[in-house]
Amino acid sequence: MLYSLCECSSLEKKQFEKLVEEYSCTKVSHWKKFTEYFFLTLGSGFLLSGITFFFAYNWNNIPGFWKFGIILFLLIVSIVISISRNIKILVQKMSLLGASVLVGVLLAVFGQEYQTGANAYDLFLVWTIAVFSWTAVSEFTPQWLFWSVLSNTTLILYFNQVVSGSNISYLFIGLLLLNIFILILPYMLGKMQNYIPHSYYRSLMIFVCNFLSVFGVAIWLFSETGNKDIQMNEVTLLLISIMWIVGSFYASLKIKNILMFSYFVLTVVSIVLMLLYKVLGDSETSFLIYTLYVLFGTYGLIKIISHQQRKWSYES
Amino acid sequence: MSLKNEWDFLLDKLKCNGIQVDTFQFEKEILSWNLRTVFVKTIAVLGGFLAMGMLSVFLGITGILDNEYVMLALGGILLIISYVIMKNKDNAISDGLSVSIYITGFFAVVASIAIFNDMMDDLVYFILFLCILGLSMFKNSIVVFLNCIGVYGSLHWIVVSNQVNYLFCFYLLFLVSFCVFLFWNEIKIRTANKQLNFYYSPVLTASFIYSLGMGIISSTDIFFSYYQTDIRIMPYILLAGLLVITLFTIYFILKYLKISDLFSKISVCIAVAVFILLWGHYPAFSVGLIFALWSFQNQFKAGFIMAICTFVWSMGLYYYDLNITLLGKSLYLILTGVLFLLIYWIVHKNRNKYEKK
Repeated sequence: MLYSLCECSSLEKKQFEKLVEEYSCTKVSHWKKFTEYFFLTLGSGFLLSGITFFFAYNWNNIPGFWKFGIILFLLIVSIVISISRNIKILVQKMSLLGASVLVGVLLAVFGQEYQTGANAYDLFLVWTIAVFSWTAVSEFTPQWLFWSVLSNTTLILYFNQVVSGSNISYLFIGLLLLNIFILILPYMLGKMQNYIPHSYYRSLMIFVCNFLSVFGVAIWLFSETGNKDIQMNEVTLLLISIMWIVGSFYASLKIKNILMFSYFVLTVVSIVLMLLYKVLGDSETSFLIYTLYVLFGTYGLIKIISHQQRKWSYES
Repeated sequence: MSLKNEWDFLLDKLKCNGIQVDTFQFEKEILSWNLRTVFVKTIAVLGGFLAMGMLSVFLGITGILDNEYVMLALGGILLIISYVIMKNKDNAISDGLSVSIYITGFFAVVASIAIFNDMMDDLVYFILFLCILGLSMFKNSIVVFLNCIGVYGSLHWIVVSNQVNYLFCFYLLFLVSFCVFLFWNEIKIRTANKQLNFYYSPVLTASFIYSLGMGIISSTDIFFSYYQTDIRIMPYILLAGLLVITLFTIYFILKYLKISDLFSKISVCIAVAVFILLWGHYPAFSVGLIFALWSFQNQFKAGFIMAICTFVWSMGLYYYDLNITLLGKSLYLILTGVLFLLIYWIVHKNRNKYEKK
């Protein structure tokens, strides 16, 4: 952006170069901080990976007691670091995230040693429940993302391993409701803690919910089942999807979030394309219509997003 | 301070120093820049590819896809339409509609040539020619980016299909050096003239992404057969080249940080050199390291994230590498970890010394 200033002003080349160095290049103080963190992270990351690989090499020869001992020791160290007051907050939070991962490793080793015969779903469910309390108090966005991955994996594995053979609409109702819940939860808890998750959390979760709702509409649209129970479920999925889409639209207007608004427009354009396909099928001319729709749909989408963004930037 | 306030502050500062700024034009530029978000660019490209897919199904069903003359005419018309409407100032037209039409037209022309002559090599030469033509004619950053990727991809194909595998390492070295050159000379290039300023970002992004991709595939087992060569010295040339580029990067940073202590300079260079030599068979690590450092220097945030992701990806590849035992892997990793901690210690010590002074 700074380079446009050069074209719109009477700045001389040398003056401009100085300006770029001041505003566009990384400052020496930032570099110094960065090199320290960068090399420290790389060094400890490589060293820890090496130690992990070393254990993996000898894993079968290590007695069960030591396997549990090693993991529990690491878990305790991580927890102690995460509650120590003299350590930087970022290190504390990273340590808590590490502890959350180690809980899963501990459960996996438990299953491996005692051959419990439990489903992978059981492991993930216990893992999700076990680390929830840490996540709730963590005030750390990566921890929330990690927890959302865990809970989604649990639900998908539950439908795969426990209720296998059920209609896909059940899974999508579950996933959509779960992800809406996971999106809202940190904001609700954050009110009590004076904490707001990082904006990328919201962007990512809203994208996931929109993606699931487009799938929800598609399942209802292209379903050919005669089973009334399944039809009811598909209608439920459709209603939840529509409610989410409309809700996200109003929310985007209220908080003036262009990314959320863009997702909404993209969702609508995708649903209209699916409707067209349902109506026109796969005849010769229909594909020409789809081509034109996609071309002008892309144009319309960018036009609407740009218009809204311009409007909000003038308002602010 | 918000971004808008920062700009206002900067403009006021410049005006106080007697510099004239065309505020109206500059605000227009800021708005236009804000409207060209990554989301909009992604949608334009995806829309183009989806439209191309739909059109090819339509042409396939109707049988037009087999008629080279109609395809050529159709592609030509679409490219001309795209060229004409690309000049429109509305970004929905220039970035959305015209890019989608361009991709569709490009595909139609390539398909027609494929029917004329089914030799893959000739087709790749034609794609190369078309991309170069597109680079010089179409003044749109998304199209420049796509054409640049097209040029790199065509050259890559020529190297692989002619089985001149030894050229691959020179090609990778050229791309990495080119990116470093662009990073290093950003101010000079972008202030030289309007044209170069326009081409800078899309060309850098395309070169950056392609180099990272090549670094990854040349570190992957399944692609080894494409890059193996009978000339045994070639991997060492690649290693030496990457070493020189990395050392140059480190030298630049040390100079920028004004670290004058000779012991620190030599120690950091030796530690980095050992890292490059240790991981010579995984170019993705060295390319990732070089790009992460330059991206940080030039505040290329997306590039920095991509470089770090390449690092993580390479680690995944390394984990599944069956040519090395777990013991070998663990020793390599521990040694590398100690090396980086050593660099950290040297830099930290130097900083404390500097601050005490």
